[in-house]
Amino acid sequence: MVNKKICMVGAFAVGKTSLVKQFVECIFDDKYHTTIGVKIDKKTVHVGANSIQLMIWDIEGIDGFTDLKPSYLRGASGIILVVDGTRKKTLESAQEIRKIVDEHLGDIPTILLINKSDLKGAWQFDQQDTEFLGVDEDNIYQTSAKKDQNVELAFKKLVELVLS
Amino acid sequence: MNKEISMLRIILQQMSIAGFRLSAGGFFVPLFELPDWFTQLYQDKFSVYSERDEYFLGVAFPFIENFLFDAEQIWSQAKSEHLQSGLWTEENDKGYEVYLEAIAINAGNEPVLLLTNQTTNFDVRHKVFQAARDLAIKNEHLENAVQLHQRQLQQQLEQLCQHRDSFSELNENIERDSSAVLICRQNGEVEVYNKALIDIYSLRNSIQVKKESLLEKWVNEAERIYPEIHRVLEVGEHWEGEFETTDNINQKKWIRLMIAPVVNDDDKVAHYICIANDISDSKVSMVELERITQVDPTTRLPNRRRFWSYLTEQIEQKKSLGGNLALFYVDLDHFKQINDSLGPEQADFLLSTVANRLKRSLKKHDFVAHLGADEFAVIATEYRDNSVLSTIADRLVKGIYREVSFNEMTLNVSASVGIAVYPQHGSNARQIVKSADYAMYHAKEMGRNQYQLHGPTHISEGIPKLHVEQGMRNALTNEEFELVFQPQICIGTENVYRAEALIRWNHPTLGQLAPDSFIPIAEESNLIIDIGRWVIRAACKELKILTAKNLNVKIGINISPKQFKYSNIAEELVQSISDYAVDPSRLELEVTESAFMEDMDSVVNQLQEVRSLGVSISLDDFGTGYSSLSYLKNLPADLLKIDRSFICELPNSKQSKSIVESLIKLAHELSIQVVAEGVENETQLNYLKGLNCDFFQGYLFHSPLNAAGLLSLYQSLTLKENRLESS
Ligand SMILES: Nc1nc2c(ncn2[C@@H]2O[C@H](COP(=O)(O)OP(=O)(O)OP(=O)(O)O)[C@@H](O)[C@H]2O)c(=O)[nH]1
Ligand SMILES: [Mg+2]
Repeated sequence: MVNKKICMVGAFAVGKTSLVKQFVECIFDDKYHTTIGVKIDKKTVHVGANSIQLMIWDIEGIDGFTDLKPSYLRGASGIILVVDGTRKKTLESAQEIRKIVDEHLGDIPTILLINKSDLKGAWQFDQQDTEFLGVDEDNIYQTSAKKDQNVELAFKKLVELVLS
Repeated sequence: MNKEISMLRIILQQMSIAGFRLSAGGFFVPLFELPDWFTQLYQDKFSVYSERDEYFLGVAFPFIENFLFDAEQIWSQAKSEHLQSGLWTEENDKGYEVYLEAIAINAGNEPVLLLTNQTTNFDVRHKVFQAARDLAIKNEHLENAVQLHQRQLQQQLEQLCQHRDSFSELNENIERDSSAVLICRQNGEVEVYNKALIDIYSLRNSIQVKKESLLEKWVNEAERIYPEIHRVLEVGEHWEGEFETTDNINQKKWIRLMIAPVVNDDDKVAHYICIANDISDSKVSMVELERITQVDPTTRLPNRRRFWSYLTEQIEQKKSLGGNLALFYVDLDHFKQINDSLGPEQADFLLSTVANRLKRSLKKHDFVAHLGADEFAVIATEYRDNSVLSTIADRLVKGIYREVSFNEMTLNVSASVGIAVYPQHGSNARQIVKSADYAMYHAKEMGRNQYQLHGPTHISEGIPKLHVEQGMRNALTNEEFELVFQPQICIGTENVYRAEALIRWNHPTLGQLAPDSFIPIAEESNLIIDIGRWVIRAACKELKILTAKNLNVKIGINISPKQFKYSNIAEELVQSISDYAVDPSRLELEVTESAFMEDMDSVVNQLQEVRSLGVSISLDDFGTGYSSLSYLKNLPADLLKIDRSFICELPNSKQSKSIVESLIKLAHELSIQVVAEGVENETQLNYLKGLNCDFFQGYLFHSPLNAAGLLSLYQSLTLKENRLESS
């Protein structure tokens, strides 16, 4: 079976861990338990006749005192960049990460998730405001890890991009 | 030796560390028994059963697989180094999470991987980060709420402004608002304001509001972080941002300010609507948070990041308020050897011990940081004047210089300290750090376990010779002289250490002086006889200490030509050797070529006498004199030192090459061993090795050490050798 490494990156508390949990185990927790370092989860997906094992690297979120360690990105086939619709500041972190990824992996399949779509009333920006990140419009999803909206769809899309 | 091995085994077991060596076959071989947590986890992750002690860590743990790329870098280097992977989480079969960290070490060219279980430490670290992020989110929400409110209020006010000529109705609308409001004309003339504004700025009354041109003040304050503010306002756009402001009673506050120009019918700016909120609370708590996360986990001291921000902050403050600030740069001596021979866990223990000692030797308001590896820094902002700096530095050096006990052994730790002062040695943080680092390096050169203030310390032309002479007389009685030792690396024979004794003068006001600034004056006045005698005795004393610690060291003593003329060297040697009961074969006299110039026969006779005592003779600075090669065979010598002026030109200068080659050849024919002085780089070293040169000396290996430094160097070298032998 083919292995593919996928990295979850973004500011802290945007929902990276929750998205992985929803995708892999179909569970969601309202309590915030911040990630320190890295946790790797595996999930097998089927595309046509092929089975692919995803190695999903859930990487600690960045903030004023935690930077993204480029060595964690090594060998990745795809990137899931997550922002939080309710926090405009997470866009700045996303931009910072885009730069680092670009520097170390070049033009790699990337999808952008605007998470917490169940709280859309409290969103501080919309999809248009993410244009400056330079992610192709087809590769942007509004997701909710809580309500399981678009989560599987988004992962599947990335797999497609990785394989094509 | 087995004792150290079993110690190591116990250490790894106690720390619950799984230690491996990477085999040529690409799998990992355990160094000792593996802890249970590891064996269990490995079985969960790697179900292929094997009888053999072969572990495929990269296969079982994808995180390690990735880390191995970085580890390879460490392992392929010739140096002993280590690299930490950062934390990662594994889940075992029972669904419990384990927090791990891998450390790659190049242990004397052996690729070693340690896996540490951080699960127990994890909680504390997690709590700090969790609290930090929870608070950060709360503050973000608060800021958003303020922003939203300001925008709504501004829209409301703008509409009112555009449709009214009088502001009386406006007043009622804003009087009770929690945001401070100020509406003014383009020239700053105040039209409307509310109570919140008076509160934020601690203004006494309304008259003051009218007089203070707050708009201008705000723009000036904001400009420091938002240089574009003038332009934005000039073109009639609206501006918002956060910055620090000072209120009417000189208190600093953080405010969030929005300035919205209101344009009249002919497109000119008629008014500015300004809305401000005090956001100091959330700002301050974020700063506090940064502070608690900027702590080094090993020593619990502020880390490098925190150090830089603190230093910059303090310098800014001194800039505006005046006053001095002193930076002490502290670097442990020989930490690398200790780290290499004891391993990172014990080195961490050493570091936290040093951190505690540093804290204890300081006053409450002094700031200490751990900059990483073996570097620490102390910032003193409240001290009387620069004359107390040496007292502080002395406290630091003495505070550190004590033995550290590990399970079954003790080591001496010492540190070198460099001091730089703002504003004398630099006008910004970077310059001050550079100056202090430079001074620290100087302290290392001068023999370690001491401090140096930034700036050159040479006897200046202005000081009269007589002064120096009188000073030297006092120095002998006041014990201001000190020997430092330049270790020589010996290639070939194991376990014989050689060091050259060099004199230093700890001058009460000028600081530590190197011999070239006082020995020539001593030679002119015959004081050299007394100083020479002191050197012989001090060297014997040191030898006794080293011998008592079972260290086989040979110490070389420099002899001035004057000593042959005016004193009886052999007699002085006999006296000191018997007083300190040292083995004469551990002493060597270093004689310069110039000693033979005046009365060669007498000098040769004296040297023969010295040799008959068992003390060996080395010829210093050889090659610089005129007919060196021809009379070498007439001299009683065991060792010959090739002057650095030849070595430094190697291997490029043809002339130096031919002199060095023939010197080594001739010396070896006469059974004289050869030392190359001043070896500065690998190329020179390899070239000299090719010529079978016996010993090498130079900064490439070690700079001079004081007695304590020499002791700890040899102790750690012995430790390392023993370890290498046993493995
Ligand atoms: N309403 C809502 N809350 C969510 C959603 N996704 C995550 N959360 C909540 O947001 C908080 C942060 O989620 P995490 O998944 O831990 O965020 P993270 O990106 O992994 O954070 P770090 O590990 O700190 O970088 C938690 O309280 C989650 O319950 C979502 O789609 N909707
Ligand atoms: Mg997480």
